[in-house]
Amino acid sequence: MRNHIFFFGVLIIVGFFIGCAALQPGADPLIVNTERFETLASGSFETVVDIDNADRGFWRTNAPAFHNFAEWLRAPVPTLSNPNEPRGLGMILLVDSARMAYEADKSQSNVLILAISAMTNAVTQAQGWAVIVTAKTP
Amino acid sequence: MAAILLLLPQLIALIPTVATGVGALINFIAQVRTAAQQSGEWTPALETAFVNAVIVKASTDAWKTDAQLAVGK
Repeated sequence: MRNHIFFFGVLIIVGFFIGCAALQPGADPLIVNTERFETLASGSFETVVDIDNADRGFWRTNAPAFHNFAEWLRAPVPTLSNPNEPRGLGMILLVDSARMAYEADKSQSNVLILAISAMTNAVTQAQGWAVIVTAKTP
Repeated sequence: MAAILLLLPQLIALIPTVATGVGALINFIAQVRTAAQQSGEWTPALETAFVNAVIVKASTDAWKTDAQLAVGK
């Protein structure tokens, strides 16, 4: 337990130093935007599955569409590294592998853009659900 | 940056042992990765460890379907 507290302390201190990393001259905007999008997608998907997981029975009964979307994110899909990766994480890994392919060969930009556009709808929907289920009713 | 990268393997190793805040930890590592990739300090070994961390994250209950959870009980 003390180790955890120590490491999280280090984490916070280090975060202050690298929180606002400047864009390096010559950095490819497509790659930087892809990395930002991966982080955004990870946070959005995790918010949805965590909220749903907090009380699955409640969401299944009172907001079945939200629960179904969370289940859709959790549905296992095959990826290069895991045959049963949850769909949400699988999409992030797919974009990540497309980004690495693009870094190795710049002619692969169409593949990367296609992978991003496929994930965009899911991220938009996840963000929409997060707003809906966390908003207080008047 | 080099000092952070030295700490990173230990932080990644922490992921399976931490019960809460795994997402924050992985997001933090993703931020370090973004900065390290720009400066060319991100190694393939770190990339493999990061991808494995995402797979570890997939083993938490929040990412299991209702059917998978029912089997686990």
